[in-house]
Order: sequence, then C-alpha cells, then structure tokens
Amino acid sequence: MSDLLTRRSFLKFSAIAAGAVLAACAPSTEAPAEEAEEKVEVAEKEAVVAPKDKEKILYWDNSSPEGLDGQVKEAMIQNYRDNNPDKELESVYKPTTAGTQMSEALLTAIAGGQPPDAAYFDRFIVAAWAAEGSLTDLTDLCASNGIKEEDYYDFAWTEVTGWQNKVWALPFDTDDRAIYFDKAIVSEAGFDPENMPEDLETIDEMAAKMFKTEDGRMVRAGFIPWYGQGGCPYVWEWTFGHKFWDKSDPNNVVVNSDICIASMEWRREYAEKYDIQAYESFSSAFGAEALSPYYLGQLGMWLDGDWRIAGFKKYAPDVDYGIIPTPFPAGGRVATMAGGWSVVVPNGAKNVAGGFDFISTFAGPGEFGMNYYCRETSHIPTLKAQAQDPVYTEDPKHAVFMELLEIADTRPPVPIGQFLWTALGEARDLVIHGTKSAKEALDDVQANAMKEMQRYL
Amino acid sequence: MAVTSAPKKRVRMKKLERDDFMWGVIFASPWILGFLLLTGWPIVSSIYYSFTQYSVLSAPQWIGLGNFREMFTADDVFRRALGNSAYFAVFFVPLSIVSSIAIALLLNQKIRGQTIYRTIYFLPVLVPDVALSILWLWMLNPQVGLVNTIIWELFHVQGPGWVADPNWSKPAVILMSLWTIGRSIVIYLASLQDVPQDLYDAGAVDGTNWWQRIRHVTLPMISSVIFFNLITTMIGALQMFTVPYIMSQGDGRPAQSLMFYAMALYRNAFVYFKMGYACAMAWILFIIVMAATLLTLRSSNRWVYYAGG
Amino acid sequence: MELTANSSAEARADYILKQERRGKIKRLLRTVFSHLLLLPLAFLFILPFYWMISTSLKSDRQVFAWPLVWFPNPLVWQNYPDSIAFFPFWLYLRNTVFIAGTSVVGAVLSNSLVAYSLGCIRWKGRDILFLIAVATMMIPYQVVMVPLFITFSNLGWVGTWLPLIVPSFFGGAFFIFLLRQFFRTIPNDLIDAGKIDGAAHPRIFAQIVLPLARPALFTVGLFQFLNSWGDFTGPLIYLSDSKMYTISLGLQYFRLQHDTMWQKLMAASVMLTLPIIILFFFTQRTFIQGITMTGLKG
Repeated sequence: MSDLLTRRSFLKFSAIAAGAVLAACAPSTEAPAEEAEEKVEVAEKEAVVAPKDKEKILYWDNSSPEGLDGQVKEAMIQNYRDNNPDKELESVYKPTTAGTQMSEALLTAIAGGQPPDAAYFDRFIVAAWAAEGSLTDLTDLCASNGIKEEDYYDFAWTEVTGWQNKVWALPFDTDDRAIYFDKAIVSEAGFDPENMPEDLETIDEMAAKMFKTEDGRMVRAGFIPWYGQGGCPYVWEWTFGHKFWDKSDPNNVVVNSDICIASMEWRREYAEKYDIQAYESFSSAFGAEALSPYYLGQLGMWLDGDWRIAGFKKYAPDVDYGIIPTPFPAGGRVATMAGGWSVVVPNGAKNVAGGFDFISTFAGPGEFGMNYYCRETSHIPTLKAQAQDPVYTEDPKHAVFMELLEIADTRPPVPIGQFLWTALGEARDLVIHGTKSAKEALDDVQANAMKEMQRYL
Repeated sequence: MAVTSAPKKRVRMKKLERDDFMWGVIFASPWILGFLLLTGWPIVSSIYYSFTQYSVLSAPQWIGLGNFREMFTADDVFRRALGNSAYFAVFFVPLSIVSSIAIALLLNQKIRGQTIYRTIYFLPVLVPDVALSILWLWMLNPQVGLVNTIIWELFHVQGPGWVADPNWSKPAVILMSLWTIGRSIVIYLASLQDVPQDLYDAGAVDGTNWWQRIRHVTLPMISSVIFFNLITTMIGALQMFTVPYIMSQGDGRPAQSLMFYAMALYRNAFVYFKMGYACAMAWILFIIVMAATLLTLRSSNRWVYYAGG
Repeated sequence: MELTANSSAEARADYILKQERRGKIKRLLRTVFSHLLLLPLAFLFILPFYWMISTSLKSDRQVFAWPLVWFPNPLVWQNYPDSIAFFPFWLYLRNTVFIAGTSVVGAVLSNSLVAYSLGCIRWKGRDILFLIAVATMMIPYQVVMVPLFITFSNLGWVGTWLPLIVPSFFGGAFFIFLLRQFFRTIPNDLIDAGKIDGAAHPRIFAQIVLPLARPALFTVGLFQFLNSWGDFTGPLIYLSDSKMYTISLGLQYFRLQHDTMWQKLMAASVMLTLPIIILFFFTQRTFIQGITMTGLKG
C-alpha cells in the first residue's frame, strides 16, 4: 500500500505535469499554423496580395453563430470579405454573460490593452462607455465618409452622440414598443376590441373587468403595467408627459418630478388593488417564452416590443390580438421606447481605420448592410431611408410600430445611463412592494444619480 | 553521561528545526511562487484601489476613505445586500453542514445501492446552475408550481409566494442551495474513511448506542474537516452570486430581497464603472469574514481534533 | 441475563447466540432505516437531472407546457444529433478535456505539496502562510479579475490556454486548506516512525502521507475537474480564437437573442454530464472505500 507512490511514480507524475505544461503551450502555436495554411491557400487562389500584407480587422459579436441573427451577420461579414480581398476580417463570437452587454470580456480587453477593432454594442450604453474613454471618437471619420445626422432617426443619433456631442458609435437596428391586447379577453369584458381607448383611465376600467380569480387564485390578469417591456423604467414617465433629459442640458437628469411620482403612484395602485404576488408568478416565466401568459390567454393587455409579432406566429398563431400605441392620461402623450444596437470601435484598437471601414459597411446603406439584416431578422433600421422599405409596413400590425418611430424616445444618453436603468427599476420594485413611497424612492434615485454624475463633470 | 548529551540534543534539535524550515519552504514553494507571480499583485492592488475612484478604463484617482464613507452613510443597497447575504449565510451554513454530515453518514453505510445513492446525491452538482435555477423557479411558482400544488392538495392552504414574495425569496434560495450539498457530502465521505474501525469496535464492546458513537467517535474524528467546511461554506455563502443573480433577473427582485453582496459588488465593478468602490466592498467583506474565521479558529482548539501535527 | 464467572457453558453459548441475533437485528434496522431516509430524498436529488433529460427529449410545444410534462410524448431523439451539430461539439469537448485534465494533474500535485508543508512539517512560518492562503479565499474574483488579466496580458498569455491551466500548478487556497485538514488527521506517530527510519520529508510525503490521503486527493481531483469543466469567465476573457473555445462557451450558442433553445441546450448538457457521472460512479468505489488508518495500536 505504501509503495503505491514511490519516488519513481512521483517523478513520473512530475514528468507528466511538466509535459502537460509544455503541451499546453503547443496548441497556441498550432492554431496560427493552421491559419497560416489557410492564408496560403487563399493567397494562392487570389494571387494578388501576399498573405503578410493583408490588413487585419478583428470584430467581436455576441450573436450565437447558429441563430438567425448570427447567420445573417455571417452573410454580411462574408460579403465584406468578398468585396475587400486586401483585408482579413476575423469575426469572433463573444457570448454575453448576463444582460445584453458583453461587459466583462470587452471591458477587460480594453483595460488590458487588447480590444478588438470593432464590436457589436448595445446602443443605450454608448454614452456611459464613451464617458469612460473606452470608445474611439468617430466624428471625423463620419464627416469624411458622408455619414450625417439627418440620415438617421433622431433618437438613434441622439443616443450615439449624447456624450459631449461627438459620434461614438454607428446606430444599427432598432425596435419599439406598444400595447398588445387579447381581443377575445377584451370582448369578454364587454368592450369593443376594434375601438380601443386612447386614454389611460379607460384602460384601467377595462383592466378591472378583465381580472379573473378562481378559488382565490388569479387565473387571468387584465393589465400589468410593469410586465414585459412595461418594466422599462422610462416608458410610463414619458407617457405621463415627462422628459428625463434634454440635449441642451446634457449633464442634468430629472427622475423625481411630480409627473414621475404620479406615474409611479399609478403603478402602485395596481399593486395594491390586485394581488401583487400573483403578478410576480406571471412574471417569473423566466426565459421560457412559450410559457408566457399572453400566449395562454392569461393576460389581457401588456406593453411589448415589435418582435412579439414573430413570437405569436411561432407559439400562438391562433390568438387574435391587436396593437395600439400606448394610451396616456390627461397631460401626457403617446410614448414608446426605441432600443437597439450599434457598432463601435473600442479605444486602443490596433486598426481604427479598418474597424471603421467595416462597421460603416456593416451598418451602412449597402446591399448587405443594415437593411439586409433588419429585413431578414425582423428588426427595424435606424436609417430613415431604409425604414421606408415597404417590407416593414406589409403587416398592418407592424405598421403601427413604424409610425411610432417618429415620436420614439430613447433612454437618456448620459454617463450614468446604466446606473439610472437599474436604480429606477429597483425603485419601482420597492414601490410596488410597499417598501418605499413613490416620492421617497424617486427622491433617493435623484440624489444618488446626481452624486454619480459628479464624477463626470 | 547526562551532562554531555544535553548540548548535543540541543544542537540536534536546532538542526532539525532548520531542516524542517527548509523543507517547509520547499514544499510550500508552489503556492509562494504563485502568490508572488500571479495572485499576489492583483490582491494587493485591490487594497490600493479601494481608496481610489477607479473605473478600470481610466487611471485611478486617490480619494482616501471616500468609498468607505459613502458605503456606510449613503448607500442603502450596501446595507441591504450585506443583510441579505448575512441572512443567507446564517441559515444556510448550519443547515448545509448538518444535512451533508447526516447524508454522508447514511451514504457510508454498507447497504445495497450505496454507489448508486452516492452518485444520485452528487448529481445536482453536475447540473448547470442555469438549469437548476429555472427548474426551481417553476417548482416554486406561487400559482402553478409543484411545491404549492402539493401544499394545496395536502393542506388546502395557499402556499407562500416563494420567489415572488420578498419574505420568502431567501428561504427559496436556501432550499435550492441545499440541493448542491453533494460536494460537501463527498468531502465528508472521504474523511469518514479515515475513522479507525478500532474505535468503533471499542465503543461497541462498551455497549454504546449509535448516537453516542457518532457524537464521541465519528464527529471528533472528522472535526478537522467539519472546520474546513464551516469556513469554506461561510465564505461561499457570503460570496454567492450566480444563483440569486439568475433567480432575481439581475436586480435582486422582489424588492431587493435577493440583492446579495456579490451581486452589488459585481454591479459596481462592471456596470457602474466603480471598481474602486467594489474593491472597498470586497475588503469590508474580507474584514467581516476574517473576523468570523479567526473566532472560529480560536474556538476550534476546543472542538477540533487533530491526530497529527 | 447476565454472564458471571460462574455461568455454565450453556449459558455462555446462549448469550453469544442472543448477542449475534441482536447484532443481526441491529444491522437490519440500520439498513431499513438508511433506505427509508435515503430513498425518498434520492428522488428529490435526481429530479434536476431527470428534468434535464426529459426536457432534452421534448418538442417545442411541450417544453414549457403547463401542467409540466413529465414524460415527453413524442420522444424527440433528434434533439441529440441536432445539438451536436449546432456548435463544434467535439472540438470544444477535446479542448475542455485537455484543459481540465492538465489542471487536475497540476492541482493534485501542487496542493498536496503545499498542504504537506502546512500540515505535517513543523516550521516557523507555516501558520502565517496558512492564514494568508485562507485569506486569499475571501477576496471575490470580480475584484482581481482585471489586474490578473493585465498580468497575463503582459506575459503574452492572452489568447492561449495558459491562464486557464498554469494557475492550478501553483496551488489554490481551497484545496490547500482541504488537504491540510486531511493531512493533519494522520497520526504523528506514523510520521515520526518515518523520521526514525531516517526518511527525509520527501520520502515521508510520497510513501506515507500520500497513500493514506487517497480519498482526499480524489476529492481534489474531482473538484478541480468540475471547476475547469464548468469555467465560463476564464475562457470568455482569455480566449479569442474560436478553435480554442471550451464547452462552456459552446453551450452559449443555444442562447439566441430573444429566446433560448432549451431542448438542444439540455441535450448537449446531458451528453457532457454523462461521462462525468459514469467516471464518478466507477472511481468513487476505489477511493472512498475502506482505507482505514489502522496505524499503531496501543
């Protein structure tokens, strides 16, 4: 038993270990060797440019290569390669952990001085990252390449130029939101689904009639203001008539005006009137789209994005639903939030010109540019000319979303953008659970927001 | 005779001490080297960063105790996060230790299917965190989840809101975390192998019952490993991130009841670009954990038994 | 009935028989009791894995149907070959096995060496060193992640597997702590016996301590393997050539922009977990079985 590990076997172990370490170094050289082989092949085919002279461009994307998005993008990338034989574009899949930003990988890479030349980037955090100096200023490159503000929807351009009025990203796609309603449930409650109201009070009345309980359990919710995209912490404040941020005063954000408090109170009323926990159980259909209550006739009205149209086709084609712009109270307005993505050139990229060349094609008006992507993946372009493509208004339901783009708002493009997003969401959560009053919660957010903003002034 | 051997003994002992010291360092050299070359500097620099405003992307700016002042006077998320993690640790650690020891003892019995049982109890450790979280979210769904359905069928009472109720969300996470005690069970199983059979036999002759045997033979013999699990489970509980993050969709809902300390830390570091503040949070937690560890260490003299050195 | 010095041979035989029967009954009770406790709980513990398998065989409609579908009907076996084809399964698997395998070797070797120093050798610095090591466990990874990345970047190791493998050769606080606790249960007499025989520490380590610590070493190897196997953040920030990716990154392929392909994700996860389960099933018998420290008597 005790000679199981004699000196001999101990030495053997160490040898294996040492060998393993050396072997670990080997694969890192294998891969480039393979690449070199490929390069030689390509060069032989083209016989134009020697492999070593090819300009390298490194692009990071977070779309699963096998999903629809990923495959469409791959086609666009391949097209770029075909049209630019003197350049070597490498596209790397960098999955995101939580949320929609690849914060960890990209942040670490930029901090460590090894960023890619271009990256797919969530548009609403462009200002926050730009304020930290993590993105390259593209203003001059845009000017010399004829990329102008007028080409884009206002909200898109505002988002990418929010920080110091310079261009930090090229807008890519967008999406917006409106109220969906289940026509059957609406009729059952005694209302006419073809004549939906434009004011919030009537909606509240309708909702009251649509809630159904059985055996003390809520089996159907009429309306949950913060469900789905209603959870976006800006929408209902806009609907009530508030404006968080203005270009003329870029370092100021207001989250606790009377309008904001009123909007928060309105949501708190829903929480008090109806069983809040039953709500939460509807909401905790985590990541499981097909289990969503609206596909199952359990939700009467809710705020959702234009992509839900495709979802209904896939999961619940028999549900008869309608779409209306967000109803608003007196003194308010129709509002929607436009989200979407962009492409950036990180700060410290080795090939800024190459990166920009790629992203201006990728997000540009060309044949395999923005419109190609949006058409194939059912998104919406941010270039106004592209958005005129009749394919987006073919479906009358989708036409509603296209109209809303004209008046769409975006999340305030301030350095504290991410902070505001989470702080406001948490404030709402605290208010509807009765932990804080609306005024108290919003005042706290305002105070903290201003404190955070100090770092950038 | 006695007069001349004493100085020789002292010299021999000095040489032994030196020898031991040399070998001590040699054997520990992998870790010492690793600390000096790799892990040391990041840890030490994080102490420095905790006194700065640091976004990772730009140079750090010294602000002295600013982060700590903000933490203790102006940040209620910090307080809530610390409270949540402490709550979790206080309940989870003892539950985890007791249940894993109990199950390990059962799994150490030579009964049929022992190997199968051991594998089954270890299985949840191998299931991806995401899958576990989703499964629990369903099972604990207040309206239609399995748990509340069973409660309804058996007791005709509406079960608690679990992850939807701020008062029940942490117990839900605690219950869920107990699923993955497989690692601790394996560690205890390993340590149970080292309990000498003679001690049991002696006990049997003396006519002791099973509980006395556990209390006076088994537990003391594995106490060094219980101590290990106590410390590491406590550290793990206070640093818990993935599970509450997934279950609360990243923001600690409902009502921040699932905002655990590591989540707030992560958010400050990577979302708010306040790495300096995050480092400060890390070191405050360090002080707390270190204090708890030292207390446990001191008490360990009384209840931990080491047969060897 | 008591035995006395005057008890007859019959009485003695009778007593022995009674004791044996009592022993048998005790053993039977213990077995029944164990099964009674272990079996119901086992159902609970096997539930997640069962659910993984069941989900992997469901059709789109059934994945999230309510009430929960326990037995998929039809059984969509196609999910399995589909999931393998969805990402470079075999390549990533090979990569991960390599990384995990070498890390295990590194971990078992380095941690046992250090633990021996801190647990079995009596030298001046050992308590301080132990405390520092344990202290490093109390610093969360998020805080050291970026400086560590910069260190590896300066070494030129970003883009290779080295940052994922090499650290395990330097030992880790968790395993050092674990093994130290195990080593300290080895009676001093055994070690002293080795010293009296004239062995220096390396010999004692290799021939006395290591063989006695097989269950603990198995645990370290198992845990290190699982850590490397499931590591996501490490490969995410250090690897940029997709040919070198690991399965934790590969599984992300199933997460689409607005949806996740649950069945295929579960199918892939099942396939990746099964080998580990089988490995565990067969190796645990060798390591967690009857190595008692018979040691010295009296």
